[in-house]
Amino acid sequence: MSDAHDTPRGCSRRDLLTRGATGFGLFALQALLAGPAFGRAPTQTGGPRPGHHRARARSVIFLYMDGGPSQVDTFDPKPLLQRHHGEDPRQVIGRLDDTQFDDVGTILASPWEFRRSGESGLWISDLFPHLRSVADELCVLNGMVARFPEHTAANYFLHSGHGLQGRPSMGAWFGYGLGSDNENLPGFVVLNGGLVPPGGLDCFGPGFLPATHQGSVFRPEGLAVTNIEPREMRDGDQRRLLDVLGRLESGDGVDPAVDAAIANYETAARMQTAVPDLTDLGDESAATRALYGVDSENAGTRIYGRQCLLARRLVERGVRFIELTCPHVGHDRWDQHSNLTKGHEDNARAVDQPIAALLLDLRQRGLLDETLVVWGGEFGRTPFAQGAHGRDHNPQGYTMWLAGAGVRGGTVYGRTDDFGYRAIEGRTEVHDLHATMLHLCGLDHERLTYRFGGRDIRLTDVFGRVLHEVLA
Amino acid sequence: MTSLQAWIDAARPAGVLHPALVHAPIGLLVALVLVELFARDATRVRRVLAWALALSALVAAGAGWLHADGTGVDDATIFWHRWTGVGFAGVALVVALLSFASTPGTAWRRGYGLALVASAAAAGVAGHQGGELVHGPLVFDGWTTDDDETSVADAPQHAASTWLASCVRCHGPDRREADLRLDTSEGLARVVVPGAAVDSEVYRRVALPRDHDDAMPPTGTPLPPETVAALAAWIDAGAAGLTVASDDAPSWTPELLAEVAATSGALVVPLADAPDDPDASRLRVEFHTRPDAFDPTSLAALAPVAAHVATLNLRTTALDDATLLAAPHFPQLERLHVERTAIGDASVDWIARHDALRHLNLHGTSVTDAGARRLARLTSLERLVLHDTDVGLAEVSRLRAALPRARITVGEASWPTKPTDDG
Repeated sequence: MSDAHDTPRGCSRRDLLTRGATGFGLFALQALLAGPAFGRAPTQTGGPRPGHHRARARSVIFLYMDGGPSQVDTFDPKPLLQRHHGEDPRQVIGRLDDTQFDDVGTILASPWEFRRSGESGLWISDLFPHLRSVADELCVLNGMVARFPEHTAANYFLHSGHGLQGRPSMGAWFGYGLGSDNENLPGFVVLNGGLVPPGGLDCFGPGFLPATHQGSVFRPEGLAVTNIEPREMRDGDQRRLLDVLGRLESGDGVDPAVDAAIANYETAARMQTAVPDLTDLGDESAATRALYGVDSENAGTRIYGRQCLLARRLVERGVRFIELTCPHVGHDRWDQHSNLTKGHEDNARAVDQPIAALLLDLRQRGLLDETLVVWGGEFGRTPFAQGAHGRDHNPQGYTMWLAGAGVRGGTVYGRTDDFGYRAIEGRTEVHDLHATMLHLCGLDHERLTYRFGGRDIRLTDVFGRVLHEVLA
Repeated sequence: MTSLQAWIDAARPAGVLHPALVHAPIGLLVALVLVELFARDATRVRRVLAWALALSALVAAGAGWLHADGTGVDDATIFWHRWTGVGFAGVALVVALLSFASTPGTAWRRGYGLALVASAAAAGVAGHQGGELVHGPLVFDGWTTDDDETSVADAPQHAASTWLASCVRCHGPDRREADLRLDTSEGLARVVVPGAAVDSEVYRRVALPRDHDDAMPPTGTPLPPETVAALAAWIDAGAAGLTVASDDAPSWTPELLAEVAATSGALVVPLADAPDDPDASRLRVEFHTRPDAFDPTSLAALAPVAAHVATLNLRTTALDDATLLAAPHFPQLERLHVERTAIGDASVDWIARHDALRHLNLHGTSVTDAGARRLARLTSLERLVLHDTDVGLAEVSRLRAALPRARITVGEASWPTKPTDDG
């Protein structure tokens, strides 16, 4: 029997208060010592683990529309633009915000017809004829706002919830929160159609999270991953090298960066068989290839079709987060400061059939109800012209859409004003989008934290609201 | 009317402030009585205090009304507390109105005095009832004895419950301090770590020195040293008799999951990691991320955790009918993926035994009409994927009629409507 004055714990509440009286630093110390209770214990190797609550979605496919498609030419029809076409927007709309090029022209009606689609009657313009066949799967967010009117900062913000370079990409946060279910493939794959977003590869970086969670860039054609073919002369040499490396760094967590590097080497070694198996489309039927447009005469469709088909194959293999970047279509990304008709048409033609095929194929294979598909760019475009036939950047109101797991299909959430200029209802910040994506994957955006620079940092910073209105 | 309801719903969270707010009118009432006793000519003070009393009583009663609906406590007690509280607020309002009667000796002034006495009485009754709601029925030490019938109602273990009998007065069916009942297995399990008295909260509390903030009991006689010693010995010996039978408690440990994962080759992960979430004990078991690890013994290796498996994914594995028919039963199975495996109609018998199934993916299997027909008994199905199987459209129609809740997916591998242009 122990002495009655022996307190079984090291530090009584009274002791703590006595010592804390000289400075509240001790409370902070207690919090630090209790570290993992505040966030998730960091994983280096990224093995699978449960989320905070049951997940609706197993995988996320982010169809990133580089450059910022125009909302009033795609999913947000505004008849008033027809009526006031050619008039001075300052007279019609009122005060305008500064634009990037300060070259405000007249009100510019959409060159494309809008039609109601599916049983839900969702409005979709003639830019996306194929997408109409899956309209009832789409949940269109017409009240999106961006915080930056310029590509680089807006891309960092869209990808990492922060307008500066260096924060973890959302794909990395998913890997950090849930780990990777497939040890032979990275948990975050970027299928690069050719365009690298302004802001560069930092859009897919792990930031301060372990390097294991960074986005791995795959090419859709040719050799998917650079240097994936083993260079060792004899089979097994590489395995022996990795074993030696593992022995040198024995003991666990000596240096997280080294652990992560070794884990990446291990993944790379396993990818040497997994990636060729992934990219070999030989087992896909002719019907499937035709569905996606893998053999289309349009080069953009061909590339993006392959990307979408690979995305489905990655989902089948349990890869957590897949981002698709756009292909080159001969001129600019969705960034039509001029030549709106040709530019938007070519960009849309590349992605329309492949995206519709992806939703259709995921649905018929029963995968759409465990996959969240997100479509959109870093901001929208002005309803008035830049110069004669362009549209400038518009962060005040634009469109993204969600489809798949846990999302109410065939619906519209949010609204812009009568000109499609500013979001006035269901205003949705990128933080809200991130919170909703995490929620659908079983993660609570307020509890998914990583301690860096003395703070428990979240993807949603101190913002974010789960859009329960759009959840099924 | 609906907007009024909306306002009430919006204000409802403020109801939790009721226990704090009630102290304002009580304090003001005391002050007002003191004014009447010792400063009868302080007319302005009287009026100010009387109106402050009335307003604070109305606010407290309003908050209480909102609070009452959310507590879920005994209806009769709530009913009477609600009306004595409202009555108190009403009488306090009368006090405030009559406080303008300034001439001593008039009928108005006598009415004021009576109203003040009545409000004090109402405050006493409402306060007592409120106290009972918060702390449980009034219990005096000494009136309740250790062999009182209620105190050790379903005690699981004679030794522990005898030693802790005096704790049960506060941590029992009546008062539940700290939401802890020491007369139930569940409650004891929260404060006992079998085999380790030093890690057990109950032992720590009763062994602490008297002047420690955490010491238990907080007042009165401490447990005798021999009782504390017996308690420690019982816990150190494994807390015999203390077994927690709860439906939600997982019967697996992380070590068991790791072992099952290793022997089966599957990914075995809980659905959630919040301890109070029933999904935290349910598992997803998946082979599709490593189909090469699947072999005919894999499913049998899941037997130790079969009762907890909610999701089983066998997509693209070497599964066949014989392997699946030999698999254990998964009573909680909600989601089954067997797409693109070699199974056929024979496997449907095994599948159809899993009544809890909500999602079944048979895409790319050789199931035919005969097999599909036997799925009609799975009335919980919400999703059935039959794309690229040998099930005919006529059979699909029959299934749709038999399973109206289920969305049944068949192939649509070509464009359903010809796109209008350059497709």
